[in-house]
Amino acid sequence: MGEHANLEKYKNAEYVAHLSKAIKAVSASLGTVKLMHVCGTHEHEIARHGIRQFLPPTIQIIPGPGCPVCICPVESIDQAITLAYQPNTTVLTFGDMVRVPASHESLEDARRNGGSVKMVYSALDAVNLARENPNSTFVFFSIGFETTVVGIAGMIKTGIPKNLYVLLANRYMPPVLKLLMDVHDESIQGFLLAGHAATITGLHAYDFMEDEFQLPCVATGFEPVDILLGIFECLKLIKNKEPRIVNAYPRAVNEHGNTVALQLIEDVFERKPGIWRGIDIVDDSAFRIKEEYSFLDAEKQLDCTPPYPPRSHPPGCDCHRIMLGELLPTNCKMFTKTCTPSNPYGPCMVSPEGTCHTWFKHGSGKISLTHTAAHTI
Amino acid sequence: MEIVYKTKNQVGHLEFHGYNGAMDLEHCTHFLQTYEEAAETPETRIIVLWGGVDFFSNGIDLNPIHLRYNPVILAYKNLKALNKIVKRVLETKNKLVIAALRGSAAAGGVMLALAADLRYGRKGIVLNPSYVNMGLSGSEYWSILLPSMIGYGHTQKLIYEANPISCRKAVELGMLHDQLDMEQNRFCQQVREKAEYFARFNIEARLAAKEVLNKRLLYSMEDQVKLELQRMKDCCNHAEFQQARTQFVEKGTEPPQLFPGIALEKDR
Repeated sequence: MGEHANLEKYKNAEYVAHLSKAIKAVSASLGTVKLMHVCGTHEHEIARHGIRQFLPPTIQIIPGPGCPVCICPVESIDQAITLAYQPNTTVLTFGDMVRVPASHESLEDARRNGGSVKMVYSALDAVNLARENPNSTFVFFSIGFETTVVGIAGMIKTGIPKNLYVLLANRYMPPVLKLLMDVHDESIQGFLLAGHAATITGLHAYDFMEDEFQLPCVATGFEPVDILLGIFECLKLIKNKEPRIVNAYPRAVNEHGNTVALQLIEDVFERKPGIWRGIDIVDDSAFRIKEEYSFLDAEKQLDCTPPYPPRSHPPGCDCHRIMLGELLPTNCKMFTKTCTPSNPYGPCMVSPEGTCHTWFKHGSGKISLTHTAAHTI
Repeated sequence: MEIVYKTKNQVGHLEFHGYNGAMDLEHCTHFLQTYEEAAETPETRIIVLWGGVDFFSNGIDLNPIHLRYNPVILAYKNLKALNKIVKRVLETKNKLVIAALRGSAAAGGVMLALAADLRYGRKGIVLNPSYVNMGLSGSEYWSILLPSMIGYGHTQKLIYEANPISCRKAVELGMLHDQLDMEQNRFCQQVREKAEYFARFNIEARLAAKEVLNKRLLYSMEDQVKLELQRMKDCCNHAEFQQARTQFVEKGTEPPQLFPGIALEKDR
């Protein structure tokens, strides 16, 4: 209750109004500014709270590839589906993943067609299920960014039952920022970094943005005041021509990150090039289980090669371009017509963190002030 | 791609041989570095871009693009890299740049030649300046270079009809300045003689004239180039590019032209 009460101040209408004014003032002489966030939760909260209406029209907040479900490679889902059809084998994964369309079907379809798939809420659930059913084989299909991968590392380090394997599709965000700069012809002027991921990595994982691109990045929280503060800090850095990595979420993030968590990750995983669904293969952006723990690596221990080639997106699907921030959901011909949350055509419409799902539910965030004031702030 | 740079008698000679005339991302980067060094060599006043023997250049390399997980990303990177080269050639102030087309050229390769101040073609070569057959609208400053050199109407015909043209036709239109000998060695000798002559006599006046002339050409080209890239990116994402690329890479043929041979007249 106390923590909940503490968070209320980060939704305070007065602070929001004050920050909105400050943003207008700092951006007055800047012209059009394009900022990108790389977090599905950011887009969800921006749209849900109508944050864009508090910004001058010259400030564009572009959603990037921040939804872990959306960027999960179809190749990995195909592997999970292949495993789900194997005798005495159950694939365990988070709820969002189950409905994501893969090359031919989703995990949900596979379950309907006789495959064994169960939803879990955490890696710990997977461990418990495996312990309770020692005669069955379980595969934990792990997705997510830096925040999620820590839990998996912890689970592996503390020891898991012999009948539990891990199919790892986790991704590491920092290298993708380079790709985004290239795709956008270096027109992005600043990044809002995901606050929760920064609690793990700290700020130095993004030093290359300062060194290589001279671009400001701001670790940003998730309440309306946090988000506006992140935007304000970013604009201030742009105005003052200070391409630094700044922490606007100090109640959770520290400069060096969570050193214990980082050590856990380093102990268990190494990094390799990884596919970001429909986007590209990005160097150094995927986690791989170290040889020492290969006995629980589903890719090495089980036969998970699908009997068909992968297909990243169905024809006409623009999800990959939406994830890159090149298109908005409203630019996609299928958005709200043939692609809806109850009947998703592409991955961005499946997860509540997907930009299309968010915009379907909340609009782009330009909701009426009265509504916002009455219901959220 | 083999890139060789040599200097002789105040003239820098830059040869770039690519398989089938294609320039992939790495080649473009290497080319640009070499060109930068050539542009900064004080003892030379002329740079001759020789391209390769069989092809001057055919622009971006579709083979690695086709094999890439997301071909669009690499295609876009590759064409931006070639754009950078064309821009650098166009903005070379301290040297006169000559394009010596020993071999044929297509798409971005044609634009690379057009970025040079003087352009000579070997009799018998063919130019294919349109990108349309590959499902692309075009980049590498085509929308600035072509209309400036051959006029709006001729540009329309070349780009929309997308037929190749002969060396003689290219000279008639103003894309090339002269058609030289068909025999490789004699062609090279003729270009070398011209280059050395320009370097020896009144090079400062030629460079001053270039500065004046190019000021108009390069005036406010940024928006135009941005539009070229935007449309190019849209095309890269379109099924037409995927189909044309697949046909070209996997079957080794270009899509059929509507009126093959109409624009490609026999050399006299």
